[in-house]
Amino acid sequence: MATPARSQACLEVTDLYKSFGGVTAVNGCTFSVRRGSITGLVGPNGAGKSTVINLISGLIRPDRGAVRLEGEEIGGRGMEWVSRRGLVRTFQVAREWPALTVLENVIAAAPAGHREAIWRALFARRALNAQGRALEARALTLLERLKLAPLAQERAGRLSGGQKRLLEFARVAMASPKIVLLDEPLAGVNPVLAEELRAAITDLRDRGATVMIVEHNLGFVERTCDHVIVMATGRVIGEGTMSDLRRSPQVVEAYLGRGAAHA
Amino acid sequence: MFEYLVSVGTLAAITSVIALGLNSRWGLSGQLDLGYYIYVALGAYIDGVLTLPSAHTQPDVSYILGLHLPFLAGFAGAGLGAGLVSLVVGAVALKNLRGDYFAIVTVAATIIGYTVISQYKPLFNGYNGLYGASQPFAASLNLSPQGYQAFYFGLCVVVLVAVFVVLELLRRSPFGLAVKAVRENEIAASAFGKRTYLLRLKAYVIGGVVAGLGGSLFMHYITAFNPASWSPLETFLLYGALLVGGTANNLGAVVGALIALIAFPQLTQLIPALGSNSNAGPAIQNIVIGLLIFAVLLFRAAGILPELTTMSGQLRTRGAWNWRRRATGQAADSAEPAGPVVDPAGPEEA
Amino acid sequence: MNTLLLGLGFGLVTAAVLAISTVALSLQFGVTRVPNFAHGELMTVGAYAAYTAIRAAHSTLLGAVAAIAAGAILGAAINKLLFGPFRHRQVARLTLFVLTIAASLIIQNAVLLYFNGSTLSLPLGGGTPHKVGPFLFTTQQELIIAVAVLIMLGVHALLRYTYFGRAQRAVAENLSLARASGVNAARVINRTWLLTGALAGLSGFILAITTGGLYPAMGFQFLLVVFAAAILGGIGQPYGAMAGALVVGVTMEVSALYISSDYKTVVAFGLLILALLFRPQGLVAPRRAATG
Repeated sequence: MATPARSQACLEVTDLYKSFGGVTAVNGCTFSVRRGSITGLVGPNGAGKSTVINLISGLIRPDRGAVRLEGEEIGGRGMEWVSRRGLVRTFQVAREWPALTVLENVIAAAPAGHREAIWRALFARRALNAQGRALEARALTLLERLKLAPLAQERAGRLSGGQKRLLEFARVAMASPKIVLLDEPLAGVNPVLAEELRAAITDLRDRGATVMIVEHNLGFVERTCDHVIVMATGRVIGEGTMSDLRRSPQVVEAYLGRGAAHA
Repeated sequence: MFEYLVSVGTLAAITSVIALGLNSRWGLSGQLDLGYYIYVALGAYIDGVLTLPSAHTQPDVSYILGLHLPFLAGFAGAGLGAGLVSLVVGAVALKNLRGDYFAIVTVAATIIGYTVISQYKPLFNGYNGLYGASQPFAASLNLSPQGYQAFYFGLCVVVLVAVFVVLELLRRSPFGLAVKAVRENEIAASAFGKRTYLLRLKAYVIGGVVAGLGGSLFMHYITAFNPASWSPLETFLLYGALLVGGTANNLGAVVGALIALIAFPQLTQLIPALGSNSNAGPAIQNIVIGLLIFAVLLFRAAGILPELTTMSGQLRTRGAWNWRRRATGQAADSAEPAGPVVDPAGPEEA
Repeated sequence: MNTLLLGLGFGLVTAAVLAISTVALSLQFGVTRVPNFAHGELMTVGAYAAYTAIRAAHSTLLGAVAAIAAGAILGAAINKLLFGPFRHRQVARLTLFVLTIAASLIIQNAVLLYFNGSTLSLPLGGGTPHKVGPFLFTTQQELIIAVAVLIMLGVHALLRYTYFGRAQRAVAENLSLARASGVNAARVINRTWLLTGALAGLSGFILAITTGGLYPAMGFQFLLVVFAAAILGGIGQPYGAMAGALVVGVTMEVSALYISSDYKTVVAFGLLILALLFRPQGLVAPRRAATG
């Protein structure tokens, strides 16, 4: 079981703990994500995978433990801050901005801090417009790649579920992240769309991002990820390639229950 | 006839300015501010105590300041003052409250303001309020009364146009886009690095500044302002205007204000039997607004925020903007139930 | 010390009126999860119905009955006519809240229109104050407190010992689980609205008695005080509502000893804002299952 060397790690999680009222969801979780990899995070229901993603991305605070992004401590910080540091995530529920157009959804996803100043809106319009055109061009390119360009002027709320998933990838790509966390991107998605998403994921990686995917669809994980981490009952119980993991008794037991490992 | 038109026109222009301020909070930022009118009142009062002479010159009248400054100082001061109060209130209220709980706090804050202003005489002269406000530029212009009315109308229109232009620029800018993103889905906005609290606060303060400016114009139009001229419930009439005009849309806000201001009074005059009841007018107006809200919500199942999506692109004639593609889809509602970040009722979703 | 006790005494009376209304709000909020902006109108309509009945029949008891009936009917109407059309759609809570604002506008102004807006007086002689323990109460005040206590006990008994009560609590705590356990949520909600309306209507009548008059905005002005008590006590928690009402009522009246009584409602609103900012879950925290 190879764990990435420190210098190659984009994301490091150390000894993460989180409990909600008596229930310990994450119980000493430790792993590293190698830069440039597509890493899968799998495990049975209740393993704490989504909670870990929420902790890393800053949606909730850890009780204990450390999260480091490219060496920088990000644990306990809010989502806004973490996102600006280059860690972007998607959600299980579609979270598009419904009343904005598809194009606006993508443009707004770009890191824009200083552009959003009020004084600029009034006094630096020419510069803003020039930058805006560049952003728009980039956004359209991303949409074209995902075959969403014809819908650019549609209200995002009117898109189908599958289209919203693709839109999410456009937004994520637009944010030029260092690392992307995908929270069950295939939930409720048909196989054709799944392949499109897979292409989008590898595309993200090819353009320099590290990707981490939480998924239940192990076939997809096997085809897409070069490294897989298994969690159960709040901690990591194994990692490696899928074939490594299939041979690990703890992993099999976690998925199939006691006795299956020894079958 | 001319005087009547000028008079209605002036009031329409001022109401439009006030409606635009509310649009910054509700339309652009999605904040259900039910206590907005307090900022208009503050604007009027602040302008008053800046431009009126000291209270000591009059017996039985008491208010703070009384600096006898010229109109422009009062105008600017009104906007700044209302903006500052907005900053303080907004900084606290927007930290953790959303949706209905935010709305409730705004009502509470406004009624507190109303009560304090009415009861605490040294502030703004209590129930008697301020009166005798100057007529801006009257001395230097030396016009006839009708001429001055026309001038003041022109002044209000100029302010309206300026406010409109500024707000439109903001709406179409990256700032506006970011504020809208926060409105549409705050968590997603956070996930893409938007500084949600600051964006909300800025939109809130902008609304306050515009409200203050509107209040100032109002003050110098009526030349008097006291608790009887406003009530915490004025805000509902403004929402009615926004509804009629189409929210999120500055042009709609102005149109709505015009329709509401002109149509409603005409409407009530058509019902003769109620002439005896002096309360009839406003009462019917409010009932109509209530029914309007209900109808809009019922038929636009989508929700009360039908932003004309590429309105921002419309005037730049970008691409194939299609008037008929007005959205009736599921706007803010179906994406996720809105609720306060800190939710006394407990989380809605598992 | 004497004045403090006097204040406390007034506080208990205010708390009594407040408690009935706040419990009503909490019961309704528990099952709908929407703060009813028109809750005050339930009180107003109750008061006006009582007034009409008393004017017609010269019976205080009939007045109370009228208040209860009118409140219940209005409550049911809000439930059926206002929320009804939206029941089967996925609408945001904010939308429902705005609907209650619409209802408040319509009802309050309808009352204004019908009764012509001026304050009507409802003089029901209070009697002379006499000592009850350390406090000084009139018979009327004693009666009000007694009624409030009875209602609290009644609600408690209802929630504890009747099927409806248990069903209501189940729906309030976990709607899907209640449904899955066979509770007819729709019926529970309908009945809760009847109960809420009845109690609120009665509280409106009592409010009119204590202030000696009615006007169309009376319920609305009391609304935020009720919200303050409800949120302070933990909105959706009937027992919290009682506690919240006590705290708000007493604080309001005691504060009037030290600052002008015109600021009583300001004090209540201050409590509301503080509660929302610092302890939104209220004094009596809800028993919510931890979500993972």
